[in-house]
Amino acid sequence: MKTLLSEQQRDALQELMNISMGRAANALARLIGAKVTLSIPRIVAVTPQHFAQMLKDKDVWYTRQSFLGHIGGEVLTVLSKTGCDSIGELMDYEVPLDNETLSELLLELANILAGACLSGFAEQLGLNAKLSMPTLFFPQNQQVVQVHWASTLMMEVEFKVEASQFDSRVVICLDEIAVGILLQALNRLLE
Amino acid sequence: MPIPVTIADDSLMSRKAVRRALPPEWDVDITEACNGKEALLAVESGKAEVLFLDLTMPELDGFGVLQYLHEHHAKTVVIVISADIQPEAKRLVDALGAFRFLHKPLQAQQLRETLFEVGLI
Amino acid sequence: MQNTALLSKLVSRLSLGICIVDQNYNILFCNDFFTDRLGILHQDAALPNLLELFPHEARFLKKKINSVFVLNNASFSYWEHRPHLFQFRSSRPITGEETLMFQNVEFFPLDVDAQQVNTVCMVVQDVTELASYYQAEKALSQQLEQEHVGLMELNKKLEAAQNQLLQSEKMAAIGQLAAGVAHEINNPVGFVSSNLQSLQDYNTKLFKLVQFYQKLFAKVNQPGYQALERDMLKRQQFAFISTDLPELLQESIDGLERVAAIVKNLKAFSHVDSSEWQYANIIDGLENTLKIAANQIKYKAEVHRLYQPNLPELYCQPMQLNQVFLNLLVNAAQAIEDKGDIYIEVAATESAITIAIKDTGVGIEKKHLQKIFEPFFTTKPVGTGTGLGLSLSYSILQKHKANLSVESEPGEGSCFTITLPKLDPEQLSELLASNW
Repeated sequence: MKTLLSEQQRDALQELMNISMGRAANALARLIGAKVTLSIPRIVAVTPQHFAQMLKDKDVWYTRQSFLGHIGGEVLTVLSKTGCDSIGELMDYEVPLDNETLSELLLELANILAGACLSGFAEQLGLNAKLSMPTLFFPQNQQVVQVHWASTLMMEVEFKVEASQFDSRVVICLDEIAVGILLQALNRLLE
Repeated sequence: MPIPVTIADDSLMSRKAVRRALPPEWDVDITEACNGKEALLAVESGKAEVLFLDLTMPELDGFGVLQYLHEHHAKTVVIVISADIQPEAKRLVDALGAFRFLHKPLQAQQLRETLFEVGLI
Repeated sequence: MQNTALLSKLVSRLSLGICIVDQNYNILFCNDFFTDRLGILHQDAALPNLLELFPHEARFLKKKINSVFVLNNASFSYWEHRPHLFQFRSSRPITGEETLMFQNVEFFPLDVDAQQVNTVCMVVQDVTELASYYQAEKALSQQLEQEHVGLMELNKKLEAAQNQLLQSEKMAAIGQLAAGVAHEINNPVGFVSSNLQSLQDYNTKLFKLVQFYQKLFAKVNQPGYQALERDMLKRQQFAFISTDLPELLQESIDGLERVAAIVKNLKAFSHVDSSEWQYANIIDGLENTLKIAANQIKYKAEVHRLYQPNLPELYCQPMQLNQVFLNLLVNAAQAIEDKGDIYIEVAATESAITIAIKDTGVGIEKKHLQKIFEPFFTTKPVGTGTGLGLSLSYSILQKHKANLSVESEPGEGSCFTITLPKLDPEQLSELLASNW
């Protein structure tokens, strides 16, 4: 399957992402009391090879969270290892973080970002998608990933907290059925 | 006589959304701008008594537009419609003299109320 | 109506804890799962405030619930981080080792009015089973990890032991060979040496005789014969021979002396003659050796002595140890190219005496470090070293059950450390006997 978005669809998707990510950034900013900078959303069709490449960074933590509803898929959150202590402090955790607290903080951050991104996104499209609880993900420990898809739509945005030298990326990956539903919803919106 | 209004946003969908949310009875002459520079051009050529302004745009962003208008065209009514809704952005926008700071996605009812408050309808 | 009744039955029978709170953390509803485990009388008593009910986790609960109210977004608590957020008794009071229930909790906005969250619902899932399984698994993997580390260490030791064994076998074989060779060479070297001495003696006498004849002949006034003589001397290159012959002989004698010295070292190396065992003072030995080596050291290095006072005497072969010290000191001096320092540090512990000889010389290249204790290995110019010094030292120290280690950084210098265990004669003979 090759997903080719029309210029209009891409524009609309990008704007929807902008709005929902803006909400996520606001949620995070309110929680930590610091300014959050957003990148321009990246929307690409990826193959399993590209995807595997993305999971090879040693300087980050990964979390994953699945969602189900009108559209289904997984949200990956990629969190830099640097700056965690500083963010933890802003969020009223005991620092320096021990292993337990660190993983609690990472999951909390991931949940806030992914939750705000996805709910904003789905809501604008008039779709519903309920997120499950996030878990830490260690792709290095995984054997060669046996995926059951050939191509997926990936929407990615980067959040930076400059005061803490922390940055993270939220990557929404849709399953193959969801891509069709998303396109339909987009077209409805564009009518 | 229709009021000259400019909608500045890099997203076609967002410009459409603003158009759709405008009260149908409001008599306006609409110009669209895809970035900050085009927005300023519209202001300079008298096509923007009211400016609906996005913040994140290429070439010149919304803050840059506000800065310029603040110094040169204080009379333009600027209504910011932004996806960046952090308190920091709101503070900056207020300091630069925008009339209102609305969140995306734009709600038609909210826009109507805003226009009413600032006495445009 | 019937639906509501069914729903309420379901909620009360559900094996999940459900609790709903308002903005002030007052409990608006909780199901039987909650009340049963808390011992609250269901329905009758007024429901208390959540934070008062769980004072230990009040801070965390407040933070979590607030974030749901503010962000309008679900939040989670995990058993790995907070195993017992709500202090419920274990779900396995009889057979389980756990005294408290392990739980995952989801916090989510239940009823929302225009982005405004009015109530937050908590759903508690009992994961005691999973948690204890997981913990057992983790304990097992930790044990495995530990055993693995133990095995690795053992492996390393084994490897070291094997290397040591190889090294000492090599030494022993070379020792035997050396002893044989030394013995075989010693005899011919002996008579060649004595013959050369005689030849030198005879040669001196023969030259004197020739000189005598020349003087005598000069006095006879016979120009014809004298011309013949000059011609003969010239033809036979007498002038050259008369200077070269003594030199050749002297060189041969010197060379043979070197051969004899090598043979002597070889014999020492193979312990053909072993010196006496006795109690001796290591410092005295070092000082004697420094006197012997003074000529080779004094122009190259300043010697710094760092001796621990009141060292005990050690049961050893003092002459042999001196040989070791001599080798190390001469090596140290030779390693110094222009001028430098040699540090001699002697210290004693409960069980051993250590002697460290450190120089500020050129150091030893890493690729050579492995080989320096092998016989005939030398980096010195041909004729300066026999390549036996360190291997000899090594085998002498082996006899003392001592250890010789080296640390070296090219360009910085080398440090040789001898660790001599304090052993009494019985222990030593036992150790040596068990080895052969």
